[in-house]
Amino acid sequence: MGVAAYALLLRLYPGSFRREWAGAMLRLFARRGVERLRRGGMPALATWWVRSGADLARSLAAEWAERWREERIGAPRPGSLDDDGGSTMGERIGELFADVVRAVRGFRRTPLWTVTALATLVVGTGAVTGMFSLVHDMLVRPLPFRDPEALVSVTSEPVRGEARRFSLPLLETWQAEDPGGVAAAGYSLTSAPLGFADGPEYVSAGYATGNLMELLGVRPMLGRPFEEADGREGAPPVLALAEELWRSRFGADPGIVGRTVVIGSRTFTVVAVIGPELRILLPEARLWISTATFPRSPYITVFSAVGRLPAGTSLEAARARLEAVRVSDTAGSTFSGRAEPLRDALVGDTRPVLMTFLAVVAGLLLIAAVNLANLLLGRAVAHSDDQGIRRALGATRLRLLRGAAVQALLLGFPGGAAGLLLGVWFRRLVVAWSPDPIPGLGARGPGWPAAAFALAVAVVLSVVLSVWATAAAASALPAVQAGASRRSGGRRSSRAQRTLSVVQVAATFVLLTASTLLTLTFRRLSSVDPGFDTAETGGVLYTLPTGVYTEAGTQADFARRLVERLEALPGVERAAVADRAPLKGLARSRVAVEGVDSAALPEEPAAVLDLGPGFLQVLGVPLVRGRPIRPSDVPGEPRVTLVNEAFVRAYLPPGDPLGRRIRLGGGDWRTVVGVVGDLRLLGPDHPAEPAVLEPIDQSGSWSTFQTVVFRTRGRAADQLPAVRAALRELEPRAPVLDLGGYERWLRASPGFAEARFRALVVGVLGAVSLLLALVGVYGVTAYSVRVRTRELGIRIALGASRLRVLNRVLAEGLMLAAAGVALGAPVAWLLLSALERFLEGAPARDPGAFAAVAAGLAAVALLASVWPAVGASRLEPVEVLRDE
Amino acid sequence: MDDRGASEAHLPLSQAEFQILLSVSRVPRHGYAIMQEVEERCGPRTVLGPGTLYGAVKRLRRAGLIEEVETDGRRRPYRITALGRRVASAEAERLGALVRWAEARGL
Repeated sequence: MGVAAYALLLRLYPGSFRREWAGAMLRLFARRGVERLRRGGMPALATWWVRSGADLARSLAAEWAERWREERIGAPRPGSLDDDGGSTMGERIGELFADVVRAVRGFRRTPLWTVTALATLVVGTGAVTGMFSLVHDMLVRPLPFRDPEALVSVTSEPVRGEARRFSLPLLETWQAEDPGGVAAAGYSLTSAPLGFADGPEYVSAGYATGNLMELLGVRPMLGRPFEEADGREGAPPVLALAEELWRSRFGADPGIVGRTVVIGSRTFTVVAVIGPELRILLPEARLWISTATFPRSPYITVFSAVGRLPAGTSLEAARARLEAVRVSDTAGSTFSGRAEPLRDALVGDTRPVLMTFLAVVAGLLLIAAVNLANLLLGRAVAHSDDQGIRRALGATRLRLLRGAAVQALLLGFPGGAAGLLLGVWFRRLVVAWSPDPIPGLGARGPGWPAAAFALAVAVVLSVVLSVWATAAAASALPAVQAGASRRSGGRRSSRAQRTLSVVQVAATFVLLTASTLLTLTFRRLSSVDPGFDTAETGGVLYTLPTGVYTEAGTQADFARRLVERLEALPGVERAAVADRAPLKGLARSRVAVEGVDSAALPEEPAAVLDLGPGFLQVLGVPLVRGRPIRPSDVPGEPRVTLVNEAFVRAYLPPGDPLGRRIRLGGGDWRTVVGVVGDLRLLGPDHPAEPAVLEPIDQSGSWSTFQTVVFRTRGRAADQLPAVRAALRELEPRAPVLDLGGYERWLRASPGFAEARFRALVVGVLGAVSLLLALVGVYGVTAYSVRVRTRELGIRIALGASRLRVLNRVLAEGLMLAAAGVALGAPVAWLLLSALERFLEGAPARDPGAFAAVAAGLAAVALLASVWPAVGASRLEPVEVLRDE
Repeated sequence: MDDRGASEAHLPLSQAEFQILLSVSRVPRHGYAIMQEVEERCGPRTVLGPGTLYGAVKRLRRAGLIEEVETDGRRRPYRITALGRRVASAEAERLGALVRWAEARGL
């Protein structure tokens, strides 16, 4: 076997060598092999094979190099000078191998060039691969569920463009009243105090209705999926562990199914360990619990719903049926559904963001490609003497191009592989940076498409550019004038390089302007005043255990006791109740104003917040006029309310707002007794909207879902554990839905987090493009100095001052930047208006940003040409001319 | 070009070339015998692979430092030529000088 393989490998040698020596080599190989086997057995034989392989590789390269040398100096050889046409298959492969060895040697001789070229390729490939695989997963790759095309996301009809979620009773009523329609399952994110031996620990968990897993077709790795009956009120509580939590906290115990786990005050039975599929719905959830224990309150509208179209039903038909449904719950909200394909719902608003990223990444790839083209051209020209001689001696152009292609493949494959790694990493980074709901789909690992894509990009890019550069360099110089090429050909190709460099600077300009605009938007958002203090304020959202606080007044009483408890903490200054906290959801209602025709009022409902006394002081909301809510504002007393300034502007006629009477929906008239400052209740990217702030004791909107806000001494984040402990002490069975400081909540609010995300990703890509531009401009100026060494030397010899030479080279770098900006600015002007949707009202054509980026690029170009310029000014004319 | 110049034009020899010249300096040897002899003399770490061996043989023969001995068998023994002998001793001298130089510096 070994001998046959060796015989085959011998065919790789040049014909002349092979004919004479292959037989002897084969005999020697075989004879030695037999001897080794006899003396040392298989290990000795194997060692010999390995050794012979290495020997063969070395010797192949040497023999081919020798043959090429002979070709070049015209040593007599049988046949024509270039008998490629007549060579055998083996010879061709052997020659290719030798090309490889030659290219590797070339790379090793110029490590800086090689590293730069590879890095450029890797960065370009990595960025575009990471983004491509993310986009592919989000928009193309099928969801890992049974028959994913039939899955839809169901929402209750939208209010002000925002889809509403379900309360559990509403979802259950709808499903019961519309059998045969869209089957829907609900899920909701929560935080579960999971009991371990060393005390409870909060982990992110998903509530799942009993039918969720069955509806999606999720098959657990261990155990059984949730069943319909598991979700019914009062059913034995069950949970499913996600694989990750099972491994990290339960030691991957194979006998976990059937064990019990304590969450809060209840005991759950583990029925399953599930894979990563459900992360698509809730990326954070590390375990899933049945809704058996979830409060059936119509006020807790936290459930998202996923539905499956009945077989044979089109999306349109299902939509029509959903819209015709009218279901009401005890809280009086009516449900009429909307459906959209699950993927669209999951991708949602992130589609334009992804497309923008993809465009930016394509720009970066263009920049990297130009950089690579520049580097390759420089190298091809530097080697053109050698190539010119080879051509003059009859090596075909094809042959030279083949060498170039081999060199390109040697860059392309490792470049592609490293690009894939970088891409995977970049993708992870993007997923990690992204706020909800991007990660759902991106949580899956990159698949084969990404790998194939990375390799294809890197290989195609390097081969095309390499062959182009070689051809360009070769045509720039007539073969015979090889010696004179340094000047004539060098000039021509350095013009090509300059053009490339200008294109690169232009593309960089567009990218940098985009990232500057997004960063400015983000910074503007972070300096927006939400209308309340954020540094030393926080809130806790929790639910009371079901079936305990049922008597009248007990819910309000609990909230008040918690406020007292918190105010007794040394780290808490003041606390107040509210039906919900700013940035944490919003209720709305139509408002009528006494004496004003309802047609004259805004069509959009106003925000409604129900507050306890002290709320304004806790959050630092300024009272502009009138009085705040007092503890005496209770049922039986005259009904009063506060409004904010935006409400006064939008709803009330000119004149004193105090004493005006308004009414929410069909409720009682209440008198405006105070006006407060404007609040951005949904986040810094939303305008301060008209809001009505009512005393919660009068409006009576107490429920088991409660919110307490507090003002701390020092940073709120430091006091959160004490707040949690206080709540737990008062009612250990009350799960915390959310607990945080307003500083973090503000940063996590969707508009803010998304602006930050966009600025971050595009900013990083912009920075990389700037780095590439730096390398590109440096490469061009350094190269242009090198090819003009003689000219510059003569100038110095003729008395040009060194300062002048220095200025000349610097000016060259600046000219590149100027031309690039001149080309890039109109392109940016045209393209960047697509960004306007992300700029929160700021113009994309911002002269300030354009000017700043132009100045930045000029500075970078200057920086990049300083080194070559200093080198040029230090030339010693005598040495330069002697070298020629 | 005098003799000395002619020999020195071939210097320095590659490791394999020098080993082969030494190996065939007394008796003619064919490829496999050269390999064995070098291994015996210098230990198993200096085994010449087939490619290295015959590549060097080819160059030595072309330069006229060794020549084939006529036989009737398939194997072709090689022996050193007069030029080869001079080149080998010039190489030995060169290496010897190197060794002395190194020793003089306490290496």
